[in-house]
Amino acid sequence: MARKLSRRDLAQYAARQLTDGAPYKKIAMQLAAYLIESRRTNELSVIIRDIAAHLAYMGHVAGTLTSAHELNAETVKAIETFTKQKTGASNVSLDTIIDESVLGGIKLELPGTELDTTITRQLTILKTRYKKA
Amino acid sequence: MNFLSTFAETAEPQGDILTALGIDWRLLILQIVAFLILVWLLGKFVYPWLMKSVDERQKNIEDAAKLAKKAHESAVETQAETAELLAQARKEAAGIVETAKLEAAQMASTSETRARTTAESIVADAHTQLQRDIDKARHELHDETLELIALATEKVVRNTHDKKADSRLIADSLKEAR
Amino acid sequence: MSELSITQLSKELRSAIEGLETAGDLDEVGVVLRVGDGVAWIHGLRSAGYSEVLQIETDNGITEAFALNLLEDEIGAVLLGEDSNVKAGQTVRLKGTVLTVPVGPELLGRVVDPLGRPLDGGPAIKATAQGLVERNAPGVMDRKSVHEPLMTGIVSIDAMFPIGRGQRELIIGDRQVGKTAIAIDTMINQGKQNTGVINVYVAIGQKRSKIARLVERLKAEGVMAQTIIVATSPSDPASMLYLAPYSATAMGEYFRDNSEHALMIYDDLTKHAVAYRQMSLLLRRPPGREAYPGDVFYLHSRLLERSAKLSDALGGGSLTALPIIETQAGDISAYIPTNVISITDGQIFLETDLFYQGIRPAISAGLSVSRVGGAAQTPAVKSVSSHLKLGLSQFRELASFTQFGSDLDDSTKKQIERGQRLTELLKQHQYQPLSVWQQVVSIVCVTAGYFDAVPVAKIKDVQTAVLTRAWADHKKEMTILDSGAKPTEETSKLIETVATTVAKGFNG
Repeated sequence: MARKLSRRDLAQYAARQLTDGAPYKKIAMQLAAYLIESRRTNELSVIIRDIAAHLAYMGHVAGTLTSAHELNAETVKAIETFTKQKTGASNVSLDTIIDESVLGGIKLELPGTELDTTITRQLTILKTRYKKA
Repeated sequence: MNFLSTFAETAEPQGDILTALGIDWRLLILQIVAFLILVWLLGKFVYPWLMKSVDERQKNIEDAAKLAKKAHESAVETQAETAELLAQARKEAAGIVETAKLEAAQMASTSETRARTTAESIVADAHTQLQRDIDKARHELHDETLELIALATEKVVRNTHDKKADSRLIADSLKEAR
Repeated sequence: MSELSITQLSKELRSAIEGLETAGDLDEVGVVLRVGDGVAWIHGLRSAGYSEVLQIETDNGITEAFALNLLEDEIGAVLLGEDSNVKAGQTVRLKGTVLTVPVGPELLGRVVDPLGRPLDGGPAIKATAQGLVERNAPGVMDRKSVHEPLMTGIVSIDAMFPIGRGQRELIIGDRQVGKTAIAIDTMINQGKQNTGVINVYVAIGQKRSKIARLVERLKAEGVMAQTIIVATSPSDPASMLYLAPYSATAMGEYFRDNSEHALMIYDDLTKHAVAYRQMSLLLRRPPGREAYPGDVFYLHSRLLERSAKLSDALGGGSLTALPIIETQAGDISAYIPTNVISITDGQIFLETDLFYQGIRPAISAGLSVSRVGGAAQTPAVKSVSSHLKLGLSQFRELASFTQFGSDLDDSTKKQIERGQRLTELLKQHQYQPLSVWQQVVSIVCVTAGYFDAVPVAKIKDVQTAVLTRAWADHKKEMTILDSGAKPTEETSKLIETVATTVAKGFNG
């Protein structure tokens, strides 16, 4: 029986293929076939996270930027610069999401790391961390 | 016996002093002989036995006297010993009673101390419980107030925090996070 | 008594708001993949260390966990709270520290859980210091040999199997034979004799009613003020049962490292091993003998090695351990008991047969041992204990002959009678530990033959009477004897006088 490939190995392979310029479809098909054959399709979301983490390690950071209001280009650029500084990435790609429930500030979700300066988080911390009873 | 009768009957014709005194010397001799025979018989059969009995009786009396004396001395000795034993027993009994009293006193004192400690601890527990209730109420009030603050802030911010303020907030956050 | 001060409340709220950080930095985060049976499997957090604390952000606040399984693809973290709050998809952050608990004198008199949170309804513990739950034991050069006695107040232990400060002495026996009773009496004796030894009692999976009774008893005996109780019940998560002895040891180590003396009682390590087995199986670690994980020996060895007597250079403090192990049907050759026996410096074996014969504490003189022995015994008790041991061993050899009654020779009969009196002497009521002078006087009275004429059934009564009398009439000499000094000729004569006088009142 073939050794079970760890998620890390799969992610490493996929990330390397992507950075080498292999077509997305090919990688996706290979991955899908392996997961179906090894009955590990429920690990797909986690594997995608791992791929993102490996890509970040290789200098290609993809993340999500959540804010209450639409951000102007200048702000987005500033955030991208900040991300490059902090992660050492050469390539940063952020998906922006507008979510009024965060009230204000931003939530920057990167592979394996997060910067949450939203007002909602501050209020949650106030309600939970300082509880006495 | 014929000879004695014949000797006794032929004694009368002599007219001497014994006759004048009315003493029949033949009868006297016979009586002396009879007496001697009696003495001999007594001496042979009765007297030794009698003397033996008397001696024995005397010996018994002497022995009894000795025993009585000895018993008397023993009684005196025993009395002295008994008195001594009694005195010792009384002393020991006093000691035992004293020990028992000490134990009883100690038990009473221990019980009293324990009762006092229990009473004090009950009072202390009551004070502690009261303090705990107050602390619990304070904590619950603290947490409720935090909840209300968070709710109020949320409402206010939703209405007042515009895009411009948000941009300023984001810029400040990024500056601090560098 | 404080009041419900609104000013104080307002101050606290303001400080909480000001303390809020408005901006952070890029934090490493993970996500909960799945959770169940007290274990959360987490993705991410690649820089997490073994036993590091993780904070899971749940709807009801932060739930902490500590990382025990660092696998290639995920981390297995054992939750330190209820798993009902934790859901898949929740964010997990690193706390940045390994597990610590509050330590210090602020814990004295308190009942806490393994994380140092109060369980007695009292105020939160405001400790200034934190102690590492997992910590290396002192090295060889940091130690000194055990030479100071730890008096338990139980005659048979102090005379025949003396325990020293810094020693590990196992208490082993079946259920309900008096293992915890010995531990409790030892704690009470530290209070009664003002030894200054701090008691730390760890209840591992013990019924809450039992813990409550223990607290009441310690309070009644006036010992609670120098005791810390770390309590876990059978309904607590296995992670808490696993952590309890380590947390408690951290609390005890505070006193050890500050030139004081502490006594650890682990009640009991069998339940600890079972909880660890449960956790390991849920973490998918391979099971070994009796389904225990392969490192179950290390589980207890690293715990008990932290109990030590420190060198003078490090303050001379000590941490003594009395671990308790429950056997099944007296089987001391089972897996966990043999493990712990090989770790400790001796064991006190309690037998069910002796217990039901009325010999309580039901200590087996034949199977019990103290590997430290006389080095940790007070000179006073040491001078009289040899006769006690000899008398008992002779009695043990002849025990089977007691049924023959008058068919024995005089010397054998005498040995048997002496042994019966010694056995009766060694019986002790619970919660009545004896001081040094009381033990010495009691032992001398029997071994010197002063009680030979007293019926066996009255030995305890005459013992009480002699002790009462000796204290009342010769308090000064008894106080000197209590300091541990070997009895002088005069003291021995005094004991003889008192004993023979009092015994006359009990002679059969």
